[in-house]
Amino acid sequence: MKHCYQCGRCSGVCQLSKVQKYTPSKIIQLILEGFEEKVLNSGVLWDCLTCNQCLKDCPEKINFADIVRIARYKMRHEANQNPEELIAHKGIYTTIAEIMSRPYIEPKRSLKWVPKGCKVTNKGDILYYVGCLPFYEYEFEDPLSIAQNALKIICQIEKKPIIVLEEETCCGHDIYWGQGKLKTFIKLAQKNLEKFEKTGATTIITACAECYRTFKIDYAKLFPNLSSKFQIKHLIEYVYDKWKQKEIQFKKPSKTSKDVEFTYHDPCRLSRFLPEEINLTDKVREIFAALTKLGYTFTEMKHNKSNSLCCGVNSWMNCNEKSKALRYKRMLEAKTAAPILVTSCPKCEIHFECLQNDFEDIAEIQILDFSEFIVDKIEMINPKTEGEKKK
Amino acid sequence: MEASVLVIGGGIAGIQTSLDLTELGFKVYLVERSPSIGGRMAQLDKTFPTNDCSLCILAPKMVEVFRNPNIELLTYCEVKKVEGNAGDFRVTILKKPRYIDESKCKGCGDCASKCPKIEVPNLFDMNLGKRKSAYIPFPQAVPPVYLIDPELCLKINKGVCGVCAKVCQAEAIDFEQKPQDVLLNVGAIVVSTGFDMPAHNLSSRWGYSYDNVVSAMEYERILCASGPFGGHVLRPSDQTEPEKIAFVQCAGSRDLHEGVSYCSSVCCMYTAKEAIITKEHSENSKCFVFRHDIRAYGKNFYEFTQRAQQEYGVKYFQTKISKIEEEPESKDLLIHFENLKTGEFDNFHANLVVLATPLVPSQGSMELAKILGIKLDEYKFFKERDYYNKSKSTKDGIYLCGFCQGPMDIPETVADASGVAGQVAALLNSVKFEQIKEKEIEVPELEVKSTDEPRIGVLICHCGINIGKYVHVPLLAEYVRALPNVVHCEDNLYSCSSDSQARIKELIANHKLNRFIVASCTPRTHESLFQETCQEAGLNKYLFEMVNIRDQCSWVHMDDAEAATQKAKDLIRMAVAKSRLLSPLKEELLKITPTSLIIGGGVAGMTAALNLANQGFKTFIIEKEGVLGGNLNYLNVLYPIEENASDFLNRTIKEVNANKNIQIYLNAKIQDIKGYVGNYIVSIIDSKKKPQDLSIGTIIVATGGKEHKPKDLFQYKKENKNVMTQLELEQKLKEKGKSWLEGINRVTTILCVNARQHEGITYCSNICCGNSIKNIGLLKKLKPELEIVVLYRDLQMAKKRYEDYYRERRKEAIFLRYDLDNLPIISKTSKSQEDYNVKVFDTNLQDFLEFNTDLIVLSTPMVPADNLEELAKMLKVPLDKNGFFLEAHVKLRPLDFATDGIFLCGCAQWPKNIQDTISQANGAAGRASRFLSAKEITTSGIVAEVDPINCIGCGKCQSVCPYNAIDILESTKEFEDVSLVVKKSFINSALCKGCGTCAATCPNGAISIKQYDFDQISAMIDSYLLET
Repeated sequence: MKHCYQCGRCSGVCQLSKVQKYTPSKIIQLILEGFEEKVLNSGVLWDCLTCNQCLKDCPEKINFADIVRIARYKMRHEANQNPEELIAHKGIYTTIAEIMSRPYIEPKRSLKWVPKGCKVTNKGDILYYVGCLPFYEYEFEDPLSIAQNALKIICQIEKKPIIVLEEETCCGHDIYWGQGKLKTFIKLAQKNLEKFEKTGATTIITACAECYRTFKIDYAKLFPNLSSKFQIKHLIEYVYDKWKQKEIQFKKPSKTSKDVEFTYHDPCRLSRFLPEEINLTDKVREIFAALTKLGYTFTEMKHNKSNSLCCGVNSWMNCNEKSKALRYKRMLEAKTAAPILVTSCPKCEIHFECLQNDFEDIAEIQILDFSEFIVDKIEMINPKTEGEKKK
Repeated sequence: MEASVLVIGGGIAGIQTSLDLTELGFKVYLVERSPSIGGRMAQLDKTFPTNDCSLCILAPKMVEVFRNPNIELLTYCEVKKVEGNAGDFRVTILKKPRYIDESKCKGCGDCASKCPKIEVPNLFDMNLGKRKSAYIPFPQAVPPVYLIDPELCLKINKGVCGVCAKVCQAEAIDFEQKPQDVLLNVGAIVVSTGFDMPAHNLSSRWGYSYDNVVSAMEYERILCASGPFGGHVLRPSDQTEPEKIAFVQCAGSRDLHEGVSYCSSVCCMYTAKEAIITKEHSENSKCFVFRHDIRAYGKNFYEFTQRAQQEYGVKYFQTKISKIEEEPESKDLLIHFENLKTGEFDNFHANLVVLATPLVPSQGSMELAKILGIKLDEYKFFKERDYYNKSKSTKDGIYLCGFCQGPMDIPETVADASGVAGQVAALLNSVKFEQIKEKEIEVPELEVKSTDEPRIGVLICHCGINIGKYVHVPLLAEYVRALPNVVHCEDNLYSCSSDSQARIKELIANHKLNRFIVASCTPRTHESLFQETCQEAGLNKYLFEMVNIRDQCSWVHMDDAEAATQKAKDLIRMAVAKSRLLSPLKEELLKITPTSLIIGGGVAGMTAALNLANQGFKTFIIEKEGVLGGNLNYLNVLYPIEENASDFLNRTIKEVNANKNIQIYLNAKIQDIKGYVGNYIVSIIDSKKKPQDLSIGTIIVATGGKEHKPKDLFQYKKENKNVMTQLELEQKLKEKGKSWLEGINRVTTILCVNARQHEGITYCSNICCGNSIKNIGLLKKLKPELEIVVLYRDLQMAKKRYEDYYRERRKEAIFLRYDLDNLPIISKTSKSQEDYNVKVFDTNLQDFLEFNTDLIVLSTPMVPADNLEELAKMLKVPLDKNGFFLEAHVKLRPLDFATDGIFLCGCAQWPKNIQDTISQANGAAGRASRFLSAKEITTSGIVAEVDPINCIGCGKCQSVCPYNAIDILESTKEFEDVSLVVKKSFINSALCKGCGTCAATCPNGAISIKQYDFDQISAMIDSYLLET
């Protein structure tokens, strides 16, 4: 933070600042000048979207979202602030996570959602981490479709039972970023790690942008040898690797296909929140380029990749009219691009779909998760039949 | 050991170092990758702060290189392989095919005018203009030789066309040319490869992909009269005049995301210049600058940025922009930014955006480093071996010059180039002049008396069809033949070709000519060639006249051949009229005493002395104090290397003392200076009060500067012990250990104390920021728990590594920005205690802030040393408005005075850090040794002459002479019954440059300029008005 030379670019690029007065550069200067307490007491840092647009643009690479995360910890524990009224859905989801963090409480989750034809196990090589999706069923429209399609894809390729845990605990992302509850987060992480280790898995796949970032970066900070034990993959990465290894290929659209024209929304956790070398934004576009060759039409929105606009909400914080304004902006951009909006973060999908109830002019956009979008476009390459064809 | 030098890169750095090297006695091979020398400076429209036309001041130097018999120009060539060591390098140069024979091409351009109109973007115009396959990069290119683009040429690609070969009357087209290796042996190598300004790989925020967002280099071409839009400020998308132009600074520099962590150092200034020039081009335009810190790193640069705002109404916003977007229909741009003053967001609407993109090492630097076996630094600039000498690469015998070593502007580059030349001369001292060609003319000069009948020969040039197409040359020749005194006149294809030179000599001999005239192109490039030819034929070179019928006739009257021909007739007739009155002039040889006097024994003086002494010249240092070292004696640690100043100082003093060629006078004073270049008598009084006279050839002024003491400002008073200047802090840090810091918990540093004011000291003294930043680190090291607050306005950390140095120190203090309208208020909380209250308006937070502090450190500007007026008077050199010495030309002659033989360096010229001081000192030594190496110099025959009978001694001539060549001397005149003291003007022909200012000023017509006297000029006017 001390590298800040007060150019003010962060305040200019800040997505939140487009709907309310919010100036990261001034907040930094205040803290540097010794007014940290004043900043914390004002509670202003509860408002941050933690979208990390400012880091993306900062000439000195100052990680403001991390500053916000630490500030939230201090606001809760030192300034005794409890932002209950700011947590969306009356705090139910963060409460669930909190309960799961307790040492003697182990969830027993229903696996009824596992689609027919998918064999699951609790020991094996590959683990599919479903995350909070099953908990959403009571409030949102068909959230399990993401989980089901993701698992279908993995099972189709692997042809062996995949680990899905009944006692799976929350990854802790929202607790960590939104609530500033560091200890709870660490407890959740430890629990998860123990459970992963028990299964004997070497690869963990998730279809959630937040879970992915949490495992890949934040858990790795807590457990330095994590990356040597597990390969963490987002579904995009998994599909990409299998395609590059020539195990799968993509199918042409049929005459009746309705999902030919599409656009893609990059979630912040898969773009600005990852080190450059992971580069999921380009990998997913390589897949789209392959689809384009087959007859699909992929159109970029004006703001894309690491410049992508925010879905408006983060970690269940601050769902209000300002957040809606940001979402509406993003949806209007999507509308000019294509009739289908693909994304790879379940939360983004939920937030966008929710807004469709409020505004008719964007209601027509079909919003799909990457798993839902890609599931019927994949086919296996059978090396034998290939060989025979050549003969 | 070879007495020759390879210079890689033909920009201003390579040009200056090549020219200096030949004067110091070395043969130069100047290799340039592109088809012409000139580099980036040739592409600029104007240069700040004088707003001279850039090419106009550069082109004479380019021509000088071209005409210099000791520079072998290897353009369109690249260095392929280098073997060997200092003193003896073997170099392989790849000569790329031009498909036009350099030795035959006369630069007429016939090939290009007939080349089919298949066009590609012209790189010289930053791809905004177009060129054909046969082309020359720009009209003033040196060498003036065309080339063919093999990728575009129909003949080379498809075997058709070939029209250029048919029209080229010089038969220079050669489609069969192949790449060629050239082998050279050289003693030293100078790398001066400059910089690139790539904009295409910047992130999308800057909007470079939009039509109306251009890089600053592209904008230079847009502004330029010879640029793609003929000097009209038009925007690329629709070629309309933009009303609102936004200049965005730091567009990639100081930005880790763009991979450029350093400050490019020149953008603040050229942005201000471009904005001013824009306003001058079109009054209706409005210019806006988005800036962060203003970094005006150079003499009077800060005032220039202020002028842009106050005189030209350029509006500055202090903010880093968020992004630039295009409005698709209008192609206008929207700049998103946060107004740091108000904290409000704004969208700024502009018709054209100019980006100050980062200046990075030029493409191919990495490969070249490998070929040369030298290292690059962390920014991919060439690495200097030693902080104190940025000219030395990591390998012996290979030197670095200009921007390829780190960001610097043109004057710094020019000083650097002269410094490199001086150092190469010291390295190769034992072999100098071994490979220098001096032209010996064996033919005795024909005697031409004023009573002789003028016999004039005239040669008229077609220049291919360059002149011939628009001026009816045969008709012209017929007309000239009929003029009185013209004995012979003929026309030919290329008057500059070598067979034409033979023909001129033949004509002079056969027709017993005693005057000669060539009517062709410009004397700027060709006069000396023809003069030489006349000399070889025994004709005094001042009996030659040249008429420019290309620029003046065929070029400007292209659409009216008849008028062009008529004008050519007039011009030649006038030249004939003048020619009749010409008389032979004598050039005098001036002996040079091979010694140098250096005034001031600081780092600058000692470095200059060492350089000269190592070149073998006797050097005297005169120092007013009792010790050598100047300001360095008061400094503690040097940044950014963090070495003790005394270590470096002691090393240098030891070296100076050990050098037998250096004689030092401490506690000494100059009493009087008499004489002129090469022949000064300097009277001094040494430490024992004994007067002495020294015979001196050249003088270097290195008198340094001193710290300004801000009397009564910010509680700076005798009784307040804990309010001190930076230099006083340095003393404490150096001598007092850390016990004095006991009880001190918060230190406040105030920058720009009494600097950059509206009145008084208006300049930015450039070095105080770096020094203050350094001391933050030192204080923190002594007492880590110390809290340090820095009150600043802009931070001048423009040099290589400074931004990173500052980035590190930023962690150790709290930085508050204030502005001139709201100066901090310091009060003492009680009379007895060293406790102060600081009230400051923080412009970042737009709020007042109040805190207490135990120690206040004031960063004040450097001001000129004491008593300079007296010295300036003795030297007859000027001081600038701030009291520093004023150089001959702020851009291209930063180390010279207008008076020949006197040079300057270091803080005598302007406040500067130790690295730049050393670079300048070497440069001044290099410049001075040009005269010393020559032993004798030839003065021009074209000088002013006083008729003592008409001179009334009014002294007006003396007051206007820019070269201090005129003295008004008193003498007693005896009349029959009265004796009278009269004053008369005397012009020293050794110093006179023949500019004619004195002659124009003289109220009595007592001064005339040889070869341009009143009779000769009147004859031309009469001829024009009265003859046909």
